[in-house]
Formats: sequence, structure tokens, C-alpha cells
Amino acid sequence: MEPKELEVIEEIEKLEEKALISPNRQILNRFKKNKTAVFGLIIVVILIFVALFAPFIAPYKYDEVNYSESLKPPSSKHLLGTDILGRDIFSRIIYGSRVSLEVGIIAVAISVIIGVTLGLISGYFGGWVDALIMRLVDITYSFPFLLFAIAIMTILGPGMINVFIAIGIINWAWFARVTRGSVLSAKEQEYVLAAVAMGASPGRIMFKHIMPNVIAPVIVGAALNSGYAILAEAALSFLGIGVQPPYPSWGLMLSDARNYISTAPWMTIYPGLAIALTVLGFILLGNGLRDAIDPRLKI
Amino acid sequence: MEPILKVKNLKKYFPVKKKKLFERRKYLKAVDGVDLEVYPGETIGLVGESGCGKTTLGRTILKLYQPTEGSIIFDGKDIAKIRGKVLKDFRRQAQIIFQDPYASLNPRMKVKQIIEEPLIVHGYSRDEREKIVDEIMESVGLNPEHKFRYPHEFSGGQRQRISIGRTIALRPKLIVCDEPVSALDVSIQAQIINLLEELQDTYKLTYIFISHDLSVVRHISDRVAVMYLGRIVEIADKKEIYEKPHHPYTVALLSAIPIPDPEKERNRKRIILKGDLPSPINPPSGCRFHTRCYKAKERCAKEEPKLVEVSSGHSVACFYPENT
Amino acid sequence: MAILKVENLKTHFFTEEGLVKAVDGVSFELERGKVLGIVGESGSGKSVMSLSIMKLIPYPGRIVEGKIYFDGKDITQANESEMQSIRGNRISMVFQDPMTSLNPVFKIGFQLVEAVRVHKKVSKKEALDMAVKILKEVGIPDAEEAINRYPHEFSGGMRQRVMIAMALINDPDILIADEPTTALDVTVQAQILDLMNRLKEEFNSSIILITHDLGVVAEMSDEVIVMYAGRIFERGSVEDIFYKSRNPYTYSLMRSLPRLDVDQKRLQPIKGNPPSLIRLPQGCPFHPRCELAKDICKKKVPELLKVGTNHYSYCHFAAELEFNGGKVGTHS
Repeated sequence: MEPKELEVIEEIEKLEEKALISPNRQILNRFKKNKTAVFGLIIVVILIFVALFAPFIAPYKYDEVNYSESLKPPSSKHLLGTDILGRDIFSRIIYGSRVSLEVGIIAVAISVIIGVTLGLISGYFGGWVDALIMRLVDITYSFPFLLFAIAIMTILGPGMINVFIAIGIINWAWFARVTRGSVLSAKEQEYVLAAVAMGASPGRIMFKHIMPNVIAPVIVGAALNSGYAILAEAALSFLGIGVQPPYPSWGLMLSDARNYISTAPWMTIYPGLAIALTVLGFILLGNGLRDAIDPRLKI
Repeated sequence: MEPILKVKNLKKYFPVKKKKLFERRKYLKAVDGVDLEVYPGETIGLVGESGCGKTTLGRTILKLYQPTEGSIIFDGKDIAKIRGKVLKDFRRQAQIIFQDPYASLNPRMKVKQIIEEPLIVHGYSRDEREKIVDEIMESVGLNPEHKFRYPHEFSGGQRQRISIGRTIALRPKLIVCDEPVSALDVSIQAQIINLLEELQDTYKLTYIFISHDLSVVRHISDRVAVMYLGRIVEIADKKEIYEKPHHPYTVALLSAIPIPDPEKERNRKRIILKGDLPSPINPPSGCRFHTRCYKAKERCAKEEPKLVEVSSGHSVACFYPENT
Repeated sequence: MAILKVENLKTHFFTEEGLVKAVDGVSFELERGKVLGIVGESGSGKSVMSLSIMKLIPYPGRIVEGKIYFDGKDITQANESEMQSIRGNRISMVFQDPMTSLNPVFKIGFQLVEAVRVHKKVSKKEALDMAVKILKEVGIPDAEEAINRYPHEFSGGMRQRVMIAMALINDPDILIADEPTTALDVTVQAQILDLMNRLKEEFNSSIILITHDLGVVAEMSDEVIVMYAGRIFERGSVEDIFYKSRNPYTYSLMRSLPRLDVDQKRLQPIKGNPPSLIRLPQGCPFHPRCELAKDICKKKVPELLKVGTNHYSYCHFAAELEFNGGKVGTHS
């Protein structure tokens, strides 16, 4: 009896469409109803706000050394305590949000640009081009993430920009695979055939006609991936091959705190919390977007 | 009069995925040797059941599929092997309307963008485009004020009007209409059929009208070709084919369609064909219809009948035709 | 006595966008051994009505009012287990798409045996014999061997035969066929309609045939219901509906059809589109598309008026109108 019921639901969905509520509006409505998604969005918005206005929020400069204040626990003077050099942890976390946000945006942007382009080409042209790109994807997937990242970082050398590039290069494969899948189904649609029939070039068909229809899973994936990219940056910086001192990255701060876990636990707890909360924020946002856009998206 | 389109021995085979490693590659013979002439300003109906190859034929004629064999002469030039700029120029003159008004419009584009897309592709200026889009929307019965809306804001019938608007934007000579009303509600079908007829008068269009609905085809066509398993089995003027069908398949097809008149319906003799359509991968030997034909004799399984003209403009591929 | 009697049935869907009155006050009777054709366009409520009779209304819909008497008992009050003993046993259904209606992972013999054994205490062997017998009945060649095949090994027409076999295996009182031939080619449609006509006599079942195809209705039905916007617009014998229609919608629909049997110069379409059930027009829901609409049609909702023996029409002017839609085009 199931198929019939589905059909009737489709009938009702058609009626909903006739009620002139645009798909974007429907997505917004569904998103707003999802409390955890809104919570994720709030975290992300706070992160963006903090990163943008760091100099105004932070009471101290991130590299302001004060040996007389070394390893002080949280107090009214230093909200979250200080590290071995007497730098204010709170201020460093505030500035550190800039690194995380940049990783979340730039590294993911690199993955999206490479992944979506190759995914479009792979799905649209098929044949040996498809086979080649998909084998590249398989190879990228088959390396353990950290090992791959360390290898790239050793080649590129440490530094913030190189962290973005390394993470971007590794994560493209995911976007390529998702884009290819969406292209394969969009390609079968008659509006694409209509574009071929009117004489549009392959480039125009790919970017003008197909791409807007594969954007939904990419947006969802970008949000989720931002969380993972932030985590990856923290790991690389923790290992000392990521962001270089004195610039504060949360991963770097954790690395600095290693020797003081028992004597100055605030050095570990607060950056750790910042990482956890931010990653959670992006993942909740990503899941919320998926459920709002299309719960059936296979991500 | 010179035909605008002349198709000769056209074939389109699709490779079938191998099931076993060392199997010989098989082909689905969707279109298997079709000859067809289409004259300027006429509507030729292409009918047949699913799997007969009518949609593939339409799409191959438009070069949406690369033909496997044969020639397609459009306006005096063979377009079977053209590419690049010449192909783009052909695309301007030959267009297609699809069946599904939901799948054939890009949900992410506004009506204006949809209709102007072919104009952009063929290099029209912004001013020209603005003008043409408004004109087109009016001529297909849409309010130009709605041009900034998305397809989902329209009903099925209106969406088909948008699709038709996109098709005629370039003022093509030939349009392949692939089941353009099959997905629409009964009360809307007539609106779209009338619109197609009006546009044909206004813009002097030539239609290849593909449909499984013989009532619709009877109404809109001047000539009708009946397809079975990749071949044309009968072709004639509309009046001829509906009143004096020769091929047993045509006869059975016509008799199978219920007429909305209970009295007539009760007094009709219906020919019920045996079985289903055979696979186009392995079509039957001889006459492809012999496995289901009520008149089949021994000869039909061995020899393949050719499409021959039996009276003026009426050709049939059958050894034992009806009504002659 | 009527096997099925529906009284003022209302099935509404409570969607986020608003209330959808998919079936809104429908009454009719179905006699034993008769074929009732229900015609309508998409959104007319014809499918929801059949699901209401089976009490299989998907979320967020429910029957909000009315009675459905099946064999004298009101099944709107029946609980789920009572309904289960009715579904597939005393009322069964055939759907449009035979591919998705059969479970792809089971052999059809197994599915038929299950259909029997859910309702009857018979051995597997007996059930299997019944399955082979009914498959022969519906014209499946080599039925003994066919029971060991999976649904995908059959063509569309053959699968629909299997569906019909499954629907008939328990000898139901009512067979509801919802667009049973819409997905099929015309030559196969002819086979299936022929089969249904033959089985109707053999099994003496009543059939509710839901379709958008007026030709199929003309061929198959004894009685016809024309639905529009969730309501019955006209109800009567097939002759009443086709030759003596008292309703402008019925007539407009027939007049808009291209015909196989007559030449028409220009088709006469119905203007506009079927209405959204969320935002129905005031008054008669058909009035914006009706050529004969007067002021009263915009203001007042019509009633289903009795215009003859078993002939009802939902129109303010039902008493004054008479149309011959079946012969349309023949004169003009």
C-alpha cells in the first residue's frame, strides 16, 4: 500500500507548491523550526562576530608577555587565566577564533572550488575523464588524513596559508564525489537536454544549467566540512607543523599547555572547549541545513 | 514541394551493458532503418507504443543523439555528421518540446531566464532579448508581468507554455513535439493543442508530433507514421490511416483505444493483440510484428516486408494488408 | 441492497500550508456486480476517496465526517484489526504502477500465497494451488512455472495481471482499481480491460474504476461519478453522463477531448486551471472556468440536485440544462 500513499503525499506536495510558497521560503521555515540547527547557527554567528571584532573584545594583545603574571589561574584580571609567558588566555582564544574561522572558510573554499569543478567535469563528460578523476578521489581517500596532511605540510613548510592549502587539497575529494553524484542525476533531467538542443556549449550547460542544481548538497557539506577543517587545523598546529607562534591558534595553545595539564588546567580546558563548541556549531548548522533543504540528501 | 527534412535509412543503436565478461556486445536497436520525409508547414504524427523508438527517432533527428547510420538531410544539407558552428546553426532552426513540464524547466531559473537562454546562447543583444521575451510570453498566453517568477509558481499547463516559449524564441523552422500534452490534465490538453496550432499558423512551423495518443494525433496531424520496434510500418495522410488502415498493427492500435461514447463503444469490434512488445535487443525475424499479429502466416516469420507505397502517399510494410 | 454506501464523506488533510479538503461531502452507493467509474482530473479527490474506503489515508489526512457502510456496517468506526480483515480480502485494490506495488524481493507465488494465508486458514499447498489457478484465470502463460519468478521478470502488462490476480484471489466483494491501465500501452490496456470485463462476470465482484480516461469509463462502467475539487459534480448511469448530462463541467470535459472517431476543426478547451484545494474559489468551485456561470454561482455553493432516477448534478442550473457529450463533434 506504500506506493499509493507516497503518491498522495506527492499530490499534496504539489498542492503546497500551488500555494505559492517558494522553495527557499520553505527551507527557511523548516530551518527556523529546528532548535538545534538554530543553536548551531548562533555559535557560528558568535564566532564570526568575535573574530571580526577581536581587537575590541580582547582585553590584552595576544602576544602581550608579562612574566610577573605567569601561570595565573582565572581571576577578574585574567578571565581565563594566563599561560607560562603570562599571556592572557581569554584574549588569545579571542584572537585564535580568527584562525579557526579562516580555516573554516578558506580551506573549505579551496576544497569546494577544486572538488565541485572536478566533480562537474567528471559527472558531465563521463568516460575516461570520469574514471581518472574518480580514481584520484579513491587515492585521496585511501590515505590516513593526518599522514597525508603531514606529508603535504612537510613539502610546503609550516605556516598559516599552507595549512589552508593542505586541508583544502585533502578535502576536495568529498566534494568531487558528491557533486558528481548530483550531476549524474541532474544530467538526466530534460531541462539539460533542452539546453543541449538550443546549442549551449558544455561549459555553459555545466555552470549555468547544472551547477545551481547541485549546490544544495555542497552547501550542507561545506558547513559540515568547516567543522572538520577546524579540527584538522587544531591537530596540525598541535603537532607544531601548523600555525606558528606567537600567533594564537587553539591547537597551538593546547600544545603549549601539554606540560602544565596538572598545574594549570585552564590552559588546556578553555582552548579545548573553544574547539569543541565551534566544531559542534558547524556540524549542527550543517545537519540543520541538510534537514531543511532535503532530509533525503545522502550526506 | 521540397521536403524540409529527409531522413534516409536512419539507425540509432545503444550499446547494452554486458552481463558476462566474454559476451559479445549487444545493441538496443531503438531506431533501425527509418526513411521519412517532412514537408514545410505540415504536422507529421509519429505514433507507437513505448519502446517503438519514436522518442529516439525524434531526438536523433535533432542530433541530441549521434546517429549510428544513415543520413538526415535538413534544408538540403546532410547534418548527420556536422559539428561545431554548423551544428549550432542547425540547433537554431530545429527545436524540441518535452513531455514533462516539471522536468523540462530548470527549477533554479526564472521564466525570463528560461526563455531568454537560447537567445543568449545565439548572441542576441540585451535590448533584443527584452523585447523578444515579452513578445513570446504574450504569444504563448502568459502574462509578461510574471516573467520574474520561478517555474514552481505555475501550474502544469502554464509550465508547458513556458517550455513552448523557450522553444519558439529562436523562431525555428522545425519543432519536434515529444508527447507535449501527455502529462497534462484532460481539461488542459486542449488548451496546449490549440496553442500549438495557433503558433504553427503564426510562425509557419513544421511539427514532428510524437505521441502514443492516437486521438490527439488525429486532431493535430496532416500525415501519420506508425512505428513498431524501431521501424515505420505504415505512413499515410491522416484521413487515409484512420479510415483505411492497412497494417494489422495500425488496425489493432486503433481498435484498442476506447472511445468516450458508450453506445459506439459497445458496438465496436476490438482486436486484442497477443503478448507484449518483444525486446528491441533481439527483434523477431522477418516481419517484426509477426509474433503478435492476428494475420501472420509462415512467410512473415522468414521474410521482412518492405515499406511500399500502395496508393498515393500511403505506404505500408506488410504482406497481407487490411482494407485494400 | 448496495454493497457499499458512502454518506457525506469528508477526508481532509491538515498540511502546514493549510487545510486541504481532498474529499468534501461525497455520497454514493455501489450495487453488487456493478462497475462504478470515477472520473476526475488531478486534485479532484478521486484517489483519496478510494483510500478513504480502505481507511489508508496517509498523514496528515483523516476522515473528519461521514459514514462508509460496507455490507451494512459502518467501517469509519472499525478499528485497525477489523480493517485488516477487510483489506485484501473483502475489498481489494489494484494500483496504477504494477512495478512498485509488488515486493521486488519475493517470488510472486510467495506473495500470492501470503495474500491468501493472511485471511484464510489453508495449507501452503492449497494456497499455492489457488495461486496457480488464479494466474491461469488472468492469462499468465505457464502459471505453474510463473509462480517461481520475481516481479522484475514480468513485463508491465503481465505484472498488472499478477496484481489483478492478487486482488482477486480472495474473491473480494469490491475491487478498487485506481488508474489500472494508465501506465500501460494501449494494446496492453485493451488486454487488461478485456480481462477485467471477463472477470467481473465470473466473480460477480463490484468494481470501482478510478480513471481520468473518459474512453475507459465509457467502455467499462455501469454508473459514473464525475469529481471536481473534492466533490461529486455529477452522478448517474453511463448513458445519463454521456448523453444526458446535466452538468456544465461534465460536458466541458467531454467537449475538450480530441476524438478518435470524429473530425474536429478546433478543440474547445476549458479555460484556466483546476483550482488549488487550499484556496478554493467562493461559491461553486468550477465557476471561474464555467462558460455558463451567473452571479449566483460566484456567491452560493450549489447542492447535489436529483435530476432523474439515480441521476444527480451539482449545479444551480441542473434542472434547466442537458448536454450530449458522448456525441460531441459528430454534429459540429
